[in-house]
Amino acid sequence: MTMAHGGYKKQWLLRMSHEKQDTLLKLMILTIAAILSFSTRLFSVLRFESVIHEFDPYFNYRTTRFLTEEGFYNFHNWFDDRAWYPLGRIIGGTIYPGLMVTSAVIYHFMHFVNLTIDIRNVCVFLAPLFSSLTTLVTYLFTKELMDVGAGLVAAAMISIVPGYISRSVAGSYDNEGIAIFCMLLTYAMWIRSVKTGSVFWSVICALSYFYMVSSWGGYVFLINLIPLHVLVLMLTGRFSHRVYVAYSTVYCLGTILSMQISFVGFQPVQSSEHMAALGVFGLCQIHVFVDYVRSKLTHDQFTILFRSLILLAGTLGLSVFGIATALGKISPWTGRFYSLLDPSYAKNNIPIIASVSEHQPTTWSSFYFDLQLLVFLFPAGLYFCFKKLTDANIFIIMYGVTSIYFAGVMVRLMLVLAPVMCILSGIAVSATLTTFMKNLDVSRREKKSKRRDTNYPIKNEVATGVVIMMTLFLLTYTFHCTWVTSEAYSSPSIVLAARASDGGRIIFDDFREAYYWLRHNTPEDSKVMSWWDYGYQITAMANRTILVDNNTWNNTHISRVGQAMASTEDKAYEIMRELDVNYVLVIFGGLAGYSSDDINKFLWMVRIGGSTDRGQHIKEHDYYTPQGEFKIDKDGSQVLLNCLMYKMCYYRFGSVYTEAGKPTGYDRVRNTEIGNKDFELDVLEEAYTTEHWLVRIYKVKDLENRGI
Amino acid sequence: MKMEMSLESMNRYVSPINPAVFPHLTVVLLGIGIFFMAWFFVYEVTASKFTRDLFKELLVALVASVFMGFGVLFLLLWVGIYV
Amino acid sequence: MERLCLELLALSILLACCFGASPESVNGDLVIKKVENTIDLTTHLPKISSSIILENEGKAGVRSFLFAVDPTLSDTLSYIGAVAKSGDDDHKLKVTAAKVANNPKGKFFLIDLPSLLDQGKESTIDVETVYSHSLRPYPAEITQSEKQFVQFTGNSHFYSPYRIVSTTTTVNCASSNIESYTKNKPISTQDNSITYGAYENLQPFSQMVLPAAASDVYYRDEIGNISTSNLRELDDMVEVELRPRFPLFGGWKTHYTVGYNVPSYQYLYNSGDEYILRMRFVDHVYDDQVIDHAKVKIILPEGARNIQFKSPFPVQRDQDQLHFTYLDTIGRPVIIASKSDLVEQHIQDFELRYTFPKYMLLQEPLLVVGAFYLLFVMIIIYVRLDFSITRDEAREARLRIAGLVEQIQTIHDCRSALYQSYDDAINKFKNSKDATSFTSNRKKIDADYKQMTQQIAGLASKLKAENSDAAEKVTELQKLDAAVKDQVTMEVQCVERLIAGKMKKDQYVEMESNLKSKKEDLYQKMEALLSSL
Repeated sequence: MTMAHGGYKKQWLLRMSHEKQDTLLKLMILTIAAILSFSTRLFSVLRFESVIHEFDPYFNYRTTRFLTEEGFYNFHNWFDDRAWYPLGRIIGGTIYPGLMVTSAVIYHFMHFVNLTIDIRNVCVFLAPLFSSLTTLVTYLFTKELMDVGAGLVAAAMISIVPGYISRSVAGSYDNEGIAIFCMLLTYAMWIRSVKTGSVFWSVICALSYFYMVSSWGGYVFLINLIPLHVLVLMLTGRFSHRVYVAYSTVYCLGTILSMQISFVGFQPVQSSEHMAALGVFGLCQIHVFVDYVRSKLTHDQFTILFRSLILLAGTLGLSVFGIATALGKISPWTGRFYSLLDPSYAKNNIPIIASVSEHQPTTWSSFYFDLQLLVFLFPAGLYFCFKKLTDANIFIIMYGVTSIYFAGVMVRLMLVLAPVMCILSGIAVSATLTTFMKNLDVSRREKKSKRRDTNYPIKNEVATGVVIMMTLFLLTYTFHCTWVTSEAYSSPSIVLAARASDGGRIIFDDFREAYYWLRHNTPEDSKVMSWWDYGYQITAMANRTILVDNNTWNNTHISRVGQAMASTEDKAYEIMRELDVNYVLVIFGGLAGYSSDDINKFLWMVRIGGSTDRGQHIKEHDYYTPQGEFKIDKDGSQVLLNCLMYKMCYYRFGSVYTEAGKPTGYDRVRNTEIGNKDFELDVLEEAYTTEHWLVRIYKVKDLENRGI
Repeated sequence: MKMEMSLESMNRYVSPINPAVFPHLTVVLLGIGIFFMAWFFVYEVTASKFTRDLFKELLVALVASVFMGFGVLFLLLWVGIYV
Repeated sequence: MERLCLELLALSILLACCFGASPESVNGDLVIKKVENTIDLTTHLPKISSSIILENEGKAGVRSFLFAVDPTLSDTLSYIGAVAKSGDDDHKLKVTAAKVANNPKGKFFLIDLPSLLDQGKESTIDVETVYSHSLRPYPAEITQSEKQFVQFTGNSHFYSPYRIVSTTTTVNCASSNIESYTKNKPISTQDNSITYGAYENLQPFSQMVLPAAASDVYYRDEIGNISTSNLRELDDMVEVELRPRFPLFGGWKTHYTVGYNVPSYQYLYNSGDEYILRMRFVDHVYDDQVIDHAKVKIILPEGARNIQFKSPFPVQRDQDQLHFTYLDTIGRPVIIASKSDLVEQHIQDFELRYTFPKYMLLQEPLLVVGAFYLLFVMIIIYVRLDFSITRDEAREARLRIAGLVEQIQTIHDCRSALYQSYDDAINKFKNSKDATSFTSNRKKIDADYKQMTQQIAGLASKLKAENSDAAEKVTELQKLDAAVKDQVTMEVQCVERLIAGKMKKDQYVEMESNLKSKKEDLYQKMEALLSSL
């Protein structure tokens, strides 16, 4: 047989010990998953170029460049006068520096070994790189939770899950890109420290928590989830010395470390979002103390003591909390946090939060779109966790349940949900396959004994069916993920592509055209007014001062810009003079058919403009037709047809043919002929309009000479 | 003084390896390199201190690094990083 | 000496006249029956498309015709292309620059016709020409509030060496806002186009280029690739259409980078370790170019020495530098030369000599190899480090057993390979019937076999000290192995008897198959035993 007649080489492969085969397979699967997660994120680079995407990444890119050029201390003390004119922004104290520092470290290391890679490329490829690392960490985490098999499946799943890819494609240089890695690393380390009760792993956990805090504001989720886990362990009577050591170390060290980030500052001991962690920390001490006392006292004595202590501690805690809140030592809950708990809060109270599309509640379809198979495997995974409940499993259950709630509240938090979906699905798939694969083996080997197995008649067939079905599911998952990545998440949004009627590709590069024009053909110190969406891009690409940007910290300032856009020309001129505006930039899609332009965003400008005292006179209903519709044609409200935004978008548009068989001035986004065609601008003059009219730039005229 | 060679007596410079074969070289060398690297890693992970053989380890590592080294070089040349 | 030079020069001019560019003569038999000119001024690159109907009134067939570019525009011509229209098919035609006898003004191109044009036949040819910088901002500088007007000067007739029967010229402008235009009657205007003609019966008269091997061309600026560019690869050159991100009106500016790779064999010469690089100091960007300031940086490979720079005209040499990039250790020498105010005549070759030892080519791969080896050695060291404070006896014992079992398995594998050798030897003996070589062969194998069996026995005794269970299995394995050996011995005896003629053929065959099946059985048992170890 093989042994005698096969070659020596063949024997070596066959005879490779079980352990070796196991290692080789593990290594191979993990390597392939890591490479896959990197390469699947490169669609946009291959289709367009190595370019930074969207809005926020441009700010991160700009700050990273500053950090690499000027060094950390200058970065830390950087006062940016290009943004929020005339307020400016202290960059060092208002950002999470983890992302920039990571890129800068990679960049400097590369240059140290003479790999002269451009900082832009470091930024572009950072998110895919960290996704690869996330794949490995997911394996570690799931292995801690369940077993190696589940870990491998989870790693393979997270490498292509669209919910995560949406924020980590090449060029999407944002905090979330590295934060998911940090989060999972912290969780993995936390589980390991809970399982071992070792101070060493707890310290590692605290350090990875520090990295997480330095890179994303979402760390608040983490610092609430870990205490929640501890709390549940206490309630279920699973609290042990291991948990005590782990939590005390992680909380103390983690809090001290997190306060080193200047943007976080004293929040961990003051703001209400962090109070749960502190409370649980106190509870831990009490719990341990009570356990100690109980071991020394009789049962009756203990009961009396316990009751009086609870009463005392309760009143004391509440009063301290009340006093601190009254004195303003504990900051009130911030708006974003409220909107997490109550989805309608933001919509009713803070228009600027509600205006961001990624803060909208998630629809069912987008759950399926972003997670596909995982949505159905998630409950199965939960079931398998409940079936074999351990300290670690409780954590993943808590994580799953809370994050699915948060993801439902805000689209953006889909990102937090995606990893746990993958992990639980990994557990489900692995557990199912393990069960049925065994049946497959048994039935094949023992043909004779099959007849005796009467209580499970068609064991082999069922097993085969299940395995085939699972394979099919996983296959469709793979195809779905690749399709979603390629179609939905791989557009840089700074360069647009459309399909021409002859099948060729038309590229709309108007944004960069306009920004580059600004960079080279306007005075160095000009101030550009635009809606806040484009702020980061303008500072990064045009290198000009802007009034408002995507860091929406100052509501009134944004509101002021909104008021200018929503007012008539002379009212707007007053505001623009007040803000020293030299140029105004609007995005107009009516000619090219680009739907997310300023006219479609205009209602938000009106709402935000009207939300402050100085904009009381701007009322949303003035911009609607009597029937309550938002229309730009002849029936549209006169206020709308004469406001600055309308005029800037449709200046000279009335004489342009856009579509065959339609009259001049036909808006291809709103599919109507515009209502106000023939007008001149009094206080503005057209400075530059791009090839497809996507970006229009106007210059604000100087005051007229006296006497005219 | 040293005599300078004139341009006419020189030949056009031809690179020692034809750039057209860079892709093939890359694939072959990296393939072999990765095989040996996988061998090395599996060996390192599975061997216990009673079964380890230092000479074998060093030998596999050497073979792996030679193939990986040249493979990576040709990969760089192939993608247009002219080192 | 000087005289000789002059004579040589004269001779070469003569030669050039004779062979270099033989002037074309104008064939008077060709008539342009109708020409429709469309001057497209909608972009800053004026494009003239001429649809020409040619007729041959002569007797001989015509293969090609001359296309003339108007002298007012010929300097700004950046592209010319011609297609023949026959039905719906477009047939691209070959266009070559030509000289015309008597040197009339303008530029001439010889366009090959798709087929021989016989007497009285007609052919329709579309010629497209693109001109750059022929639009003049007018006025040259404006404030941003003003509208930028541009002025275009062209010919409302068709400039051609042939007789033209009918001409129509249409000018399309970017906007309907036409400030003024030449009014050569007949003329008509509509929206943003002006039509001149038709004129009847008129008498005759009238981009960046890179080397062909250029590859990986890029055109970008501080914020990324400039997507408005186009690349056309022709046989003898690569044409890059460089369109800035935005049109440049009076007083506007932009900034960009263009780069490309060329293979070294075109510019680099060597002999042993001596190298000479010969390249243009500045390249041709466009006709009549003026370069205010040019800075040439030459980065040589690491290890290049004795560098000598020879320029065709005086240039300013800056301090040499070192450049560090991928896989560099000591840095690559950089030669920097700069010069101001260059014109087309400065497109001349410079020479750069240096020596570069061949073995330095190996430096970079060896560097990578070294890095990998270092990594592996670190791993080898890392796995040998043991930080544990306590010794886990049970684990150690388990590992020891696993180690021993693995060794036994390896040796046993070799031993089973020996069975194969026995079989081979027997077969060989059956064929050759050479008893002496068979015996010696067998003895060699026997010796190996003995040694291995002893090794296994030694290991088994060690194993016994650790774990009696596994040791028992190994003893069992040894027993099975001995049985196999017995079978082999019997086989050997059989074959010896067969060869000696003491045994019948069919008897032997039966014996052999019997033994074989027994062996197979034993092999399987051993296999099962081994995997259970």
